[in-house]
Amino acid sequence: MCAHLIVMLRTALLAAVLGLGWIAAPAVSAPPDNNADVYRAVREGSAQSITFTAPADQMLIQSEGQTWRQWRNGPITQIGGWVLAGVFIALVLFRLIRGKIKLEGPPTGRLIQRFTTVERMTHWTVAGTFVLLALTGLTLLFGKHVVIPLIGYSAFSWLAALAKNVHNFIGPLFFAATLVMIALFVRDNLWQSIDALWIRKAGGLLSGEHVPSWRFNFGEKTWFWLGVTGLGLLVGITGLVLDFPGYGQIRQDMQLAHILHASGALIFMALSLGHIYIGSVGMEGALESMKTGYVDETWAKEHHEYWYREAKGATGAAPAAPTGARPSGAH
Amino acid sequence: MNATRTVILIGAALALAACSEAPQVTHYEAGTYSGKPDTRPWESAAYGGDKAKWESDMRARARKQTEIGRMPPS
Amino acid sequence: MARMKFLCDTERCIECNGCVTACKNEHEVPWGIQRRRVVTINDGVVGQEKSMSVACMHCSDAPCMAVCPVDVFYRTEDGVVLHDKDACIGCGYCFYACPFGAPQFPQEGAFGQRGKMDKCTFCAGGPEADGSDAEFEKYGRNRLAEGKLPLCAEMCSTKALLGGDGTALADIFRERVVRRGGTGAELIGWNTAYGGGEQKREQTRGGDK
Repeated sequence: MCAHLIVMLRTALLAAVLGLGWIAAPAVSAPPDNNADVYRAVREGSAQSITFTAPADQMLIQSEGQTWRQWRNGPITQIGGWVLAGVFIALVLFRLIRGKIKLEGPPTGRLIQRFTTVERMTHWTVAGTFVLLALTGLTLLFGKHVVIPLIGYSAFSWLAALAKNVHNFIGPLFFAATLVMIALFVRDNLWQSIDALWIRKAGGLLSGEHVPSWRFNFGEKTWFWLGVTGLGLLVGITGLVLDFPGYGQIRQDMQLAHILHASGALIFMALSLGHIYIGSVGMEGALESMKTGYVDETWAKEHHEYWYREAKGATGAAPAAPTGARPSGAH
Repeated sequence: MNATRTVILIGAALALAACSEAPQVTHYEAGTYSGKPDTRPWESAAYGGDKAKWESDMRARARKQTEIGRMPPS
Repeated sequence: MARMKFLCDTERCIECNGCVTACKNEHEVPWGIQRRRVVTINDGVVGQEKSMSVACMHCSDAPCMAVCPVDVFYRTEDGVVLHDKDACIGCGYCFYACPFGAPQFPQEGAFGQRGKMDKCTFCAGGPEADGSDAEFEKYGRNRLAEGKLPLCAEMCSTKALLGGDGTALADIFRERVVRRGGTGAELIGWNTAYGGGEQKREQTRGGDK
């Protein structure tokens, strides 16, 4: 009874699929080798055996591809684009409302070392590769919609091939540099009790108030943990999965890796815009500190008061090392 | 404080803009390929643009793939 | 208006791999590339072993076309999905998206990077001049321009693999199913390839031309 119903449904389905209209009920009843269960398994995407070892994996129909396509062409492209544009506009508005964060006191002319040479080299390696990866990655995601109308199909194909190769070769360097960077900066980015004050006052970002902190304030720590460490590792590891396809990963792994990679990278880029803004045009003296490694004492006192006092205590020659000390213990 | 409110309002507006309608089902329509043009199969030397002849040849060859008409009725 | 499709009747395929060999020979496909392959279900299980020949199905709503970052894919008037190899950057996105595992990539350069994508062309070549050496080298023979259907289908010994205008194939298959009985469930991949997209496109277009 039930089986008969299923047969009828199947016939109707076939007819609908082929657009044939209703097929006359088969003269023969169900054939002896009716493999309905087998075919159902195929549609559900179970593995089958394959005579030739092709680069493709052992599956007849993979429906995950369609899911991947919908994610990539839908939310990732659209929301991703909106987020990047939104953050950019927000920064422009911030600049218009708040203006450049200037030094309040006059510069003393006395300098304190804030970053060592190794730290700066690591930072600029990560930063340089990041910008290259971001630009090439954006070319691959949005280029079809944005660049092809501008420069045409053939020129864009050349550009995209360059972008893909730069992306694939620079990627591992970025990942390695990121690992070094995490190792270098992790100690000064651990939680310190003064960070609670920064959170309470939202960093003084809007009020303009200076919140005291050790070497890194909570804003910088957020960027370190969420951006550099969290998203850096996520994007780096998924990037390696995509970059070296010949190590046993199947399509489904790469689809998942790509979705994580693309959405992680877009959030990373959005956050990085904030970091780049405050580190360059947004704040007086910030870029100098990463360019030369030294900051003026006034800058140190205004932006990182505890770190400044400690560095002064340690004669100001060596780079600051708060050693995780609490303000109550040091002062 | 006024600045704070402005920023929050604009931020909320932008955050909501990101939730605008994203099509859940992507469907390809006309394609955006803009590369080298390709000639159509009936424009080859063999057909010289005779589309009707090409189509009837194609149909005839497709029908040759079934043996049902060729077998004596059982 | 012809709408080219492939159809593999799994009740008939005997896993001889003749289509695979014919394809490789006809197009002189490079080593390591499989435009067509035969997949066997329940290999070795008596009575349940079924085989199917798969290649690019030239989908109506082709996922490869939708995800390609450089838009190298195009659809010919007769529904064949082709691509321009000169512009392909070898990113592999079409390979992620394809339900049938059709796109193939030669490994080239450092670290086994993907080369330019290769896939079944429905024996319709590519954008190069029909029958030219350049077309043959990149895409293989252009049989459609010679008034022939894909070789894999035309030489199939059991006529399990059919190729050609979708309406003609559907007619042949319906005749078979009516004769031998059964449900038509053996028609795998047809809905995936020519399902929603085709109907949607034809609706928006106001019917097929």
